[in-house]
Amino acid sequence: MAPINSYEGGVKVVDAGADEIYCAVQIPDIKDFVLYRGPSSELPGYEDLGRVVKYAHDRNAKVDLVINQPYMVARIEKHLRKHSRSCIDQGVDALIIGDFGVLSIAKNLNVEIPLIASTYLVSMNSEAVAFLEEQGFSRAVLERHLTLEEITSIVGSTKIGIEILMHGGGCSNINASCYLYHHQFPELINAQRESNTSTPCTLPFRLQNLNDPQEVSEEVPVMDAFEYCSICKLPELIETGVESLKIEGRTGSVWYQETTTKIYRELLDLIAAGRMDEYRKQLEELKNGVYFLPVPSDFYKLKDMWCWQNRCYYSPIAQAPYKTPLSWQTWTKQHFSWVQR
Amino acid sequence: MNIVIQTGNLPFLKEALASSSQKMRFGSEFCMYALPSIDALETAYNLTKDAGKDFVYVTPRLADGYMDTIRKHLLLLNDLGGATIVVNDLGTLHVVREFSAFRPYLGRQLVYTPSRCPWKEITEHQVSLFTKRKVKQIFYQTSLNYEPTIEFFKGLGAIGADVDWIPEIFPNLKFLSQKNLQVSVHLYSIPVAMTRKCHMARFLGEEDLDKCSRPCYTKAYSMNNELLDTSLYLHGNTVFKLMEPERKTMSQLVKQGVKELVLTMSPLTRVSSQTQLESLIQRLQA
Repeated sequence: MAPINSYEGGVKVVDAGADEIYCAVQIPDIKDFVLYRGPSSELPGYEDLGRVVKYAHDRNAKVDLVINQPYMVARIEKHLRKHSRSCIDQGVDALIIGDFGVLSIAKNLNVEIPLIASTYLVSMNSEAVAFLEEQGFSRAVLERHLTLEEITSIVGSTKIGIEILMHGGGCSNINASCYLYHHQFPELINAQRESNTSTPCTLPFRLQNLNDPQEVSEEVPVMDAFEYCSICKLPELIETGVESLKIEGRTGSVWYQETTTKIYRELLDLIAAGRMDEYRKQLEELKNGVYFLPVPSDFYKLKDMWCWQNRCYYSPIAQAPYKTPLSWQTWTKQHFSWVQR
Repeated sequence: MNIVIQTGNLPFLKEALASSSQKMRFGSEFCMYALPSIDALETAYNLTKDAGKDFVYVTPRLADGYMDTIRKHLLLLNDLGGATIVVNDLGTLHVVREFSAFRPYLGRQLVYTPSRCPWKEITEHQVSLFTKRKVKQIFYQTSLNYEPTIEFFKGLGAIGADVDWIPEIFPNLKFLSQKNLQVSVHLYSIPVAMTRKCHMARFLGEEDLDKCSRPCYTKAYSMNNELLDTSLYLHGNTVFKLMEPERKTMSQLVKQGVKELVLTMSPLTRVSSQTQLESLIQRLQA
């Protein structure tokens, strides 16, 4: 399942082998209310959505619409209802929903359309998934902070489809319980620029024990626990029995969306065909390559960026990747990136 | 205004029971690894009832492996006569509904509150004042201010909800009271971000969270990045911002129909003894 934010992206990821794509469309009347992601993560209008749907359907790919507002208020109800209706009219195949208020709006549209429970509904156990099934969801996207055993257990306990994230800047915190919004806040933008970081949870902090002020640690990226990649874990992820594997990255470039989809498609096909030697060989090539970055680069290799920091999805929960020291090569690359330019 | 004391371990509970508060909350609000043992839960329940006080059990978000534990806890409380259960997980809500003796109370993790965000400017500088005002009206609501959402949870048996001491949301709490949902306002600490990959345990080198030595029982940290112009605090797996309650905002709360404040005993609130509790209760009631 691949992310897009443009018609061009839609064409590229479908051609790259996505079975399903997901996207949001800008809601015309509430564009000033942005918490997590800005307009750059969304298709600009319904016409673009219609073109994406047509292109995807002609090639047997599905299009899921993201309307996962984390909460609903009366003031935007009318706009969201109209928006959902307009998107459904363009032929989308499912709605991704992250709030029970939005769920009520979707149900009141009186349209037969599959509903997918977003990570905002925080499915972490079989009972939560059973609850979501009762509410009419036909698929649940599990929270990232789970182990492979827990995912397998949930899949085995339910009749509805289970989807998991497999790639992209996963959250250090539980998605729906994190209010460190990434978008549009001037203080945050300034701090990230100065610290050369891209998300609030990678910022360094000065930690001081409240009950022992002598205990101080400087420059600790204490919240930095995000995961990034799961190319090495694909056989185990398939083994869990999940229905859908999702790539994160609606704000990414078309290049990122296309190459990431293509890489995972090829790896999944190799595994499906039982060509495991080729799969393992390709993994090694990928780790020495320059993939999965927001923009093309000749500089960073996958193993420099993520492997050495153990940024693997569904790793042991208490792993402490920020404690792994950067190699001197990576440090040099990060601090002298101007050489590249 | 009733003041309820929330504790996560028996030593704190014993201190709290000696205070003038008439209601005790016991359990773990944020961390599944800090669930009490069944013996500790039974002891906490009995101690509270023996002291003639009300007992509320607080539960966190849970992974599959902990659902059996929570089910055993609920069976025990059911046998002991039932209780109010603070629920932070949809799975727990699903299980709680199997028992008629329980009254589910929506925990802070089931009440989405965008103004927990630590950044002060919520829109770009360039937008008009009218737009800023409109955005603020949306921003300072909770997910329960939308009627279908509150009705949804009430339909599932919810009798109340936990919210935070964020004065800007207080005018919107009246709606919850009018819908016959009891509202409990947590004092001092507002959860800003919560993880399962416990930030504090990782920082302190804990390797297996199932065998965590619970450094959060004694430690909490301030987190500062001078570029952010805001102070954050780390306690266990949750990052908080702190807010000191003020007298004028307290009277505002009363007008909104709020009757209960929650005071958590922890290294973060720096309340750990009956004496500290009592002086705080006196100050709040004044």
